[in-house]
Amino acid sequence: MFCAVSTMTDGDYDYLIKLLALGDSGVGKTTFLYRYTDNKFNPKFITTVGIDFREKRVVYTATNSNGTTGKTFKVHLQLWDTAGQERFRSLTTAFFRDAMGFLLMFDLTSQQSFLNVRNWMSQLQANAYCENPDIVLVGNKADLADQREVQEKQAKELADKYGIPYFETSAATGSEVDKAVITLLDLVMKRMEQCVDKPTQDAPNGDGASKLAAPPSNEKSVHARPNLLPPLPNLTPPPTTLAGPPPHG
Amino acid sequence: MLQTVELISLSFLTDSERELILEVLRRDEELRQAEEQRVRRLKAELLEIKRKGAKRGSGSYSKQSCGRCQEPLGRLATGSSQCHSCNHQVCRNCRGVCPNGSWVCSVCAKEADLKKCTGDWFYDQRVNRFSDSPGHDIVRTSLRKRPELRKRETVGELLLQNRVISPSQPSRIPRPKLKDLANEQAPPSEVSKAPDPQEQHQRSDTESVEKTSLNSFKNGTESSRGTPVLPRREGVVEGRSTARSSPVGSCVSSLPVPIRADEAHSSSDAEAALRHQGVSISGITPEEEALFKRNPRRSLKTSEHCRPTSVLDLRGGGGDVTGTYMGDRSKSVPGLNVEEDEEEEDIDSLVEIHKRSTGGSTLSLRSSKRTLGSLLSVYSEAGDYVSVEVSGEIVFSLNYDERTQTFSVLVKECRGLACGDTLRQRSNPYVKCYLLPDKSRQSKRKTTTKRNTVNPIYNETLKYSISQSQLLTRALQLSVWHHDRLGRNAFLGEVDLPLDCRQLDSAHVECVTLKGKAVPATLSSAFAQYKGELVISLKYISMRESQTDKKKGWKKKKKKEEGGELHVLIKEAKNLTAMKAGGTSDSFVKGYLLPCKTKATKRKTPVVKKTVNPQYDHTFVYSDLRLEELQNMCLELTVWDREAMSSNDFLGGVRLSSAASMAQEEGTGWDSTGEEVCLWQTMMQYPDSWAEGTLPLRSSMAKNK
Repeated sequence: MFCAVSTMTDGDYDYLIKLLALGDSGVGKTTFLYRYTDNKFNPKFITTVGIDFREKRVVYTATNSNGTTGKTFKVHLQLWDTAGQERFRSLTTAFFRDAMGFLLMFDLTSQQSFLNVRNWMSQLQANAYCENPDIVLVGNKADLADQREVQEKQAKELADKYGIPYFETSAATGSEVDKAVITLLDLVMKRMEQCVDKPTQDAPNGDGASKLAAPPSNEKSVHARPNLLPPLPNLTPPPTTLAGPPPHG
Repeated sequence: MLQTVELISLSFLTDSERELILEVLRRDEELRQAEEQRVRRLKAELLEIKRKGAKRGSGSYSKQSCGRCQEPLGRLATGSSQCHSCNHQVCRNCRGVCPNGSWVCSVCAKEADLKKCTGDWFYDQRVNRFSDSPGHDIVRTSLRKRPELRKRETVGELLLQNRVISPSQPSRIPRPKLKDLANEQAPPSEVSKAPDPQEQHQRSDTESVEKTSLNSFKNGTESSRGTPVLPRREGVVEGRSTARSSPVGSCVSSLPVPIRADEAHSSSDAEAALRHQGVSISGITPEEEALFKRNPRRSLKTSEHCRPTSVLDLRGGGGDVTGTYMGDRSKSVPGLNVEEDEEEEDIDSLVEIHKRSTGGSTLSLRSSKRTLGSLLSVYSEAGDYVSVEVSGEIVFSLNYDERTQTFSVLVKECRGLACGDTLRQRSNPYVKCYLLPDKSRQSKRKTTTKRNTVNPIYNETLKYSISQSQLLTRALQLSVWHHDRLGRNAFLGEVDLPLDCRQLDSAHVECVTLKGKAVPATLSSAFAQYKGELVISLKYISMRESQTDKKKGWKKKKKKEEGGELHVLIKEAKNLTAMKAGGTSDSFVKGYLLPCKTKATKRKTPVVKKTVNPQYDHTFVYSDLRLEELQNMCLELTVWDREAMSSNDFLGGVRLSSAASMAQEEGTGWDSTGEEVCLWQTMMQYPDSWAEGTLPLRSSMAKNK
């Protein structure tokens, strides 16, 4: 049902989109990605050594400006998994610059992991390919309701402050996992369109960057960004790859 | 260099951890290679589309035809049929609709598409952000000249290339490609030493290009740079820099066993092939591509910047260096200093020089355009100078001011130069500077001459007004010369620095060892640089036909019986190099029928103005020729840009002869190749009928030895 990783290096796709999951150790980045790519859950905690990645191919449907659905594209997702442990920090942050979008994760059952979101945020701003990369805030382990330490309102406020979408997911049940990733993918694809599509008469070689000049991109721009939760319907899950199973539990 | 390796070095990892990470990186490499292949394929597609019937430059195309397929456009179409990206008039079939409802022409659409599909939108931004990071000076020393690839470089790639991951145990690493490059190919001593000019400037052009267009974005980045840089970031940057040592390895071809050989080779081969294709078929050189993309504006800009200086130079030209000396020199070649006859004669002497200069002198691949900018320069091109053992180094710094579009070369000093005057053991050195490939006076700058020293201190700034995008296509050539008042000047050494991958916004002082003249490239190199094409038709009209023309009288008839006529119809040239403001040239074609290179065989077309695709439709007639004679003759056609106030610029040429004559005519050895030979032979084979051909122009008429 799902593409085997080995057959996915054939180059038969339209876009290679690189996303990266980051957050404190133990918040569930690996299990989250495992759930997303393989739709499985491994409750055992195996700490990630440095870095890892998973792949998945999805079909993305673009939206035209008038709201109608446009072309569909095959997107190859490379999902980088990073070690949350401090000792790997220099290695993991090095990989930030190669990712086009970020899943910033914390553990809903750990207040500390939530507090550290700010630190991760500044890490991203310093090391990502630009200062206001596309980020989705993910509170994981939503299924462990009785151990919950971070309230939805709290997290939502923080996300709003940064102007990024927020999702409460559960890698164990699969709840909202796909949605979080797809939302991020949509943000990245939109940014890509923005970067390229505006006719750039006076910047022959700098299309991409002249784009960035358009929104006031100073340090605060992340905060100033409108909180846009992108509409999801423009993403039609392809029957084979994208459709996650109904959340069990 | 090596300390920086330590910074990203993962020595804290255990062996098994290292193995795990390496495994991940290898998987990543697989994906990356597939991606690289895909990107290359996509880019080839774009080239193909661009090549197909697109209008180039200005000129003979009808305004009422589509800029892409060249189908005529409907009358009503004008105005609404202009692509707002490239401003070409485009028919309905050659449009691509954007998601926002507007449209652009097929090429622009494809370009935008490519930017998305290849991920360039992302890499362009990233490159922009990290180009100013600390440690870049070190990075530069070891960069490879492949901006495209480097731009796409990922941390994973770097880590994998470098053995940083397992510095102490090469044995543990299963693949040879993971061996330590830094040790094998770039000994620390060498790297930390004064940078090699070949490697030093290896920096992504895209980075700098992006920068120009993005001042506003830079402001944004500035603020973040102001914030304290995290120690980790430093690690990243350093890691990036150290890893750069490996690409150097694979680009310096003489080095044995390049690591990543498989990948590097396959990609560079493919790219070379692609480039070759681009050059020989579609001929999209960077300059041209730029021209093609946003034609009029950009080229205009450059010319605007170049011209004024050239005018200045014209006066100061060669005179500033020599007074009496120049006079002496000119005497030896009559005609060189005669104003009126300049157009007539200087071209001849130039062509002569073009030929002579092959023999081990200065003719490099790029030095095709040549004028009599300075007599001295012409002589130096011709190899008429004293050669001494090159020694010493030159200290200079480069800077580009984006605001004023000024490129400054600060020549600080030279150290330990050779003695130009070997008899008296002294040197009067000056530094000459060109922005290659332009070797005309427009691009020439000189310092003053310092007397009697081998360690001259100049501290002189040589300035060029040039747009940054243009600058990136150039190479800086600094040569040091001994000025001899009475005798010949002596060449003391030079350095060539391509500017496409060089950081120009930091006035970093560089000290580069002087080198001897580059060995001229081989025969094929005359075609390696795309100079456009010449479309001609040849016909040999045999005696019989002319005999039918009996009315002309007995005497004339008899004369004609001695031989037929060779008609050379010069139809048109395509994609000539633009030499004038507005991206055009005022060109004409000149022909000689060798071996007799005199006025008797000299023919010229009228000048066709303001186009790089001139239609000449002019016939050269050579009479009294027997068919057999043609076997041992050579038709040399050269295209020139007419320059009213000074000497004409060489735009390219062809040399038609039968291959057979090469062997027979020792010493002359016309090096006609491929289509040139083909066309000549077809002409001889089928007298009285036209043989037409489109011949690629040589960038130099120099003959292969």
